[in-house]
Amino acid sequence: MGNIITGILFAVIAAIGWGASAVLSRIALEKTDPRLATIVSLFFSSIIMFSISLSTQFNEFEKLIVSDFLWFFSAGLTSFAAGRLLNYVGIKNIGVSKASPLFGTSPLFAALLAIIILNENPTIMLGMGIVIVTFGIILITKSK
Amino acid sequence: MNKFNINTGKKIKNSKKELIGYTSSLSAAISYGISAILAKIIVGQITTPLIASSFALFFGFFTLSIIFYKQLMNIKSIDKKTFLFLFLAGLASCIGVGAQYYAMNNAPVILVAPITGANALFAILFGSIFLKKIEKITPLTVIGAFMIIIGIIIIILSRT
Repeated sequence: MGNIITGILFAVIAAIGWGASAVLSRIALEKTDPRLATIVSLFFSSIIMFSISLSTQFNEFEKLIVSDFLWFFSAGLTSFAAGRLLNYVGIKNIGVSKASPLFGTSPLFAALLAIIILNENPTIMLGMGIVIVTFGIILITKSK
Repeated sequence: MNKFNINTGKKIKNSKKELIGYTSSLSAAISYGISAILAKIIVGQITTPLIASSFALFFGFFTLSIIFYKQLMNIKSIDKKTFLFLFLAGLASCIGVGAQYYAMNNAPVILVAPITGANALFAILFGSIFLKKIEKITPLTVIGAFMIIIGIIIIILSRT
């Protein structure tokens, strides 16, 4: 039970962290180009992340082989180079209150891709989720 | 007549800006969707989420630095305050990644996913507190955000 409460606490911290990150980047984007802002924020993020992983999981680094880096590169390209840059362009143009929920639809696309690429079975619940998300997107694009 | 033209021009400019914003945000979501598939393979077969994120962040930084090296030359144009906000934004997102990792290690996905999926609500909440001067948050935006979050929770739970 204690573990579950710890897990829930960390989940809340994660949600607050991402919410805060979107707002902080919105403030920074008032005076900066999104391309430059993305590069600078990725620089800081990678330093912080390497510090955490080196201090907590140093032994895991020794297990890596050269071909693993191709996977990391692909993930970096889609997740951070394209993903964060496009997210920042979105935040700059429509604001954090509209861009964040739209950006949050990524699990929908992950689910669709999993059906296509990983041959996962589509379910009625998934269909329901897609319909609700689509209505949410329409409402956000209609709000002035 | 002139006034009408100026207003029409502003409207066209704003709608173009909105179109770019919506397209970029949804494209970012697609991009993250693709990376989630890659992450599933990486974490299942290669290494831990923290190490994978560290290298992915570095490669993301490296790739953009090469593509946009001209913009990078203007780095001196960024003032100290903006640098601080970008550092804090990077730190907050790292806290998000790290905390999600520890949350998943301690509690089942069925509890963690709905909470982390609601991060947009925190963005809207913080935005309504700290971005009063630069952002207008409408009830329709909040309802839309709620619907997206509920839909995403259903999608995540349907896959667990």
